[in-house]
Amino acid sequence: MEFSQNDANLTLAMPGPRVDENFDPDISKKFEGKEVVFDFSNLNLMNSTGIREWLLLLENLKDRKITYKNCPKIFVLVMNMVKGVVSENVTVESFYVPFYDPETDDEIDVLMSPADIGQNLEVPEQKTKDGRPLEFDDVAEKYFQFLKM
Amino acid sequence: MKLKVKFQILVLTALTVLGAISIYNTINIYIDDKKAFVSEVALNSMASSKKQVLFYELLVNGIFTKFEAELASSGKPGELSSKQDLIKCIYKFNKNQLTAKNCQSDTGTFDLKELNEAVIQNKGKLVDGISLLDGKYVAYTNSKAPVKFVSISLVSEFVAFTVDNLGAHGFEFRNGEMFLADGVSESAAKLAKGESIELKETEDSFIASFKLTDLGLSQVKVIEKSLMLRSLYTFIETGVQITLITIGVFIVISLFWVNKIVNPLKTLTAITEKISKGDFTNKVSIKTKDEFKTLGDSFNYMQDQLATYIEGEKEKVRLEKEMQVTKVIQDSFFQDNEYVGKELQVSGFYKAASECGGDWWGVTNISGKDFILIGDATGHGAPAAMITAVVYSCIKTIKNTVGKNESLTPADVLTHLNHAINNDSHNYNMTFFVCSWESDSRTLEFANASHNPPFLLHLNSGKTRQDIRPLSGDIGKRLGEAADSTYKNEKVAVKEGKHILFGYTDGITELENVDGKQYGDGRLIRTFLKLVKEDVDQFGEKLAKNLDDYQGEMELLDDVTFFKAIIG
Repeated sequence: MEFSQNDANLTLAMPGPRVDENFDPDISKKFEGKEVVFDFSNLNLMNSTGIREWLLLLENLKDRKITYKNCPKIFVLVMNMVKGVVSENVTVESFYVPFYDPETDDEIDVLMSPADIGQNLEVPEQKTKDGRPLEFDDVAEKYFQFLKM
Repeated sequence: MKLKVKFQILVLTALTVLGAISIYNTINIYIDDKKAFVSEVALNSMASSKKQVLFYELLVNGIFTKFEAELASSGKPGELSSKQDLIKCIYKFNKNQLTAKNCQSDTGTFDLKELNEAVIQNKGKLVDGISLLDGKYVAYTNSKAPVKFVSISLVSEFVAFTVDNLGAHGFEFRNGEMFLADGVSESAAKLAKGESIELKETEDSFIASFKLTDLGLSQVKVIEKSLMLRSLYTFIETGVQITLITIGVFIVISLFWVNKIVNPLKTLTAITEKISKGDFTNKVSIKTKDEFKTLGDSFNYMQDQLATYIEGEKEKVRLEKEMQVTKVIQDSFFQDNEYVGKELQVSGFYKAASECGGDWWGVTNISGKDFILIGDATGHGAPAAMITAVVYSCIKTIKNTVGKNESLTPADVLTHLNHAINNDSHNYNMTFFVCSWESDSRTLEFANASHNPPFLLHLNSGKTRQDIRPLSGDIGKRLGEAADSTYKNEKVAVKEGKHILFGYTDGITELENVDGKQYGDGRLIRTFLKLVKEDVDQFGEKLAKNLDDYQGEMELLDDVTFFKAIIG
């Protein structure tokens, strides 16, 4: 995992592309400052062993303010299913929302923020470049569960 | 045939062939050279002698002419003229025999009578005269035409004679002596034409050569082949002896040398036989400094590698057998047939990524309530299978120990399972979902330990995404993650009419196709809705086929498990 120290209080870290059994949670002990921002733009895989390591990393950072941004679908699923990934000191800044084009069978992910979804878990309508409406490709109550944590 | 013998035979054969070719060529060259040399020497000497013969013939003719003239005039032979000094003896010829008389030659004494008889006895041929020339007998005739000269050399090595330029005066050999022959023999004719011939007598061969002198006479030189080639035969005899000695020395040396080659091979062969019997403890020890030492070292390395490999294979076979046993045991954990409860039919599907897996689903009735359970242990294979075994045993224990009147909730089940799985190492976890169905109250109660939320769908609804109710609830920690994990029950009031409850593990959503693309939650939801609309009874079979089609030739990376429960 790459990380950089933007200023004394902020560490910017980029997990990935794989968070698995080779992931070292103790790298977080090198983070300085009170806040850590995890940018998941590079993340391609997080398996069950990687989740366990991630929870250990969060344990090391339990006294810091943590921000997740650019969360891919796989990490959204982890946030939804694994208790502790979205703990009280974690804020989700942005995440990808899956959409589906019934005509072309294409799956399109759109980056959104919690404010876009709102408290009622209403997914903003999306269209293709041609103006065709896209379907939200999941179940809102399931996919946005992390927003209720 | 052993390698050593083959090698020796090969080298000997090669040496013999090479030697034979070499000797054959050498002999041919030697014979040609010898023929040329001997013939040249002999013919040159003969050419010189023939000139003298001609001279004597002319002289003797003159003497006879004078002698006959004197005889005719006086009736007695006259005295020889002073020209007699040129020769030592003159012989009177009476047409039947030469008058024998001892006479002194230039080089020694000879018995003329003896010579005369030898010549005269030649089939009664008449020889007109005989003279001495340089230690050789010369018989001659004074016939008018054509003039014929025969020079007979009695030197032991040579027999020489002369024929005229028509090839007349043939010759024969009998008992090693040459005699004048009648007519023109075939051999003489060949010689007259300048051809070289080899004359065959009874036991010996004679080499004849031919040279035309400056007197218009053809000279033939005949020499016994055995005499001419005496030095060659000596050479051959010596060569054979040397060759035999060389071959003998070679055999002795090759035995020693071949043994040096063969012995390491024997060592390798012996150890190979031991290896074939499973004994890898013997090392090859070759102390030479050549390629055999390298071969021996390589052999030892190969033996070590082979031993390691075989040990690995044995261990692999042992593990495979154990895994097969584990699979058999694990298969017994799963519900074979459709479970039928009160207003409940449950069936499921399980496919392990390896011999045994970490997914498990089950359905059982505890204290009058039907419980549906599904879980996914960390990873797959034997360790994950052990977790499922613990879970299965724990469920069995709960079922057998909980009293009929005791109330057991899904959260209670998760708590029990968590205690069973949890250990200090926290190495293995399991996501788990438990729900119970009470038909009387039409209530589904569930608790979730970080597992994918199952879908609940009313079959009389529009069957859209919005109609799916995910049983997420309060997500608890995975089983085994913490000893003090707590789980919350959530209840869902199930409306009238049939519902489908679909639970699954992430082996489905993470299933990859040949392009490496995952099946995904979106595709699963779409497929779920599509298949439920088509035929809910065939949902399980069709979903399994859909997953199989999507996977194609790709290796299964994780266990795939789902259950379908028709409620109400």
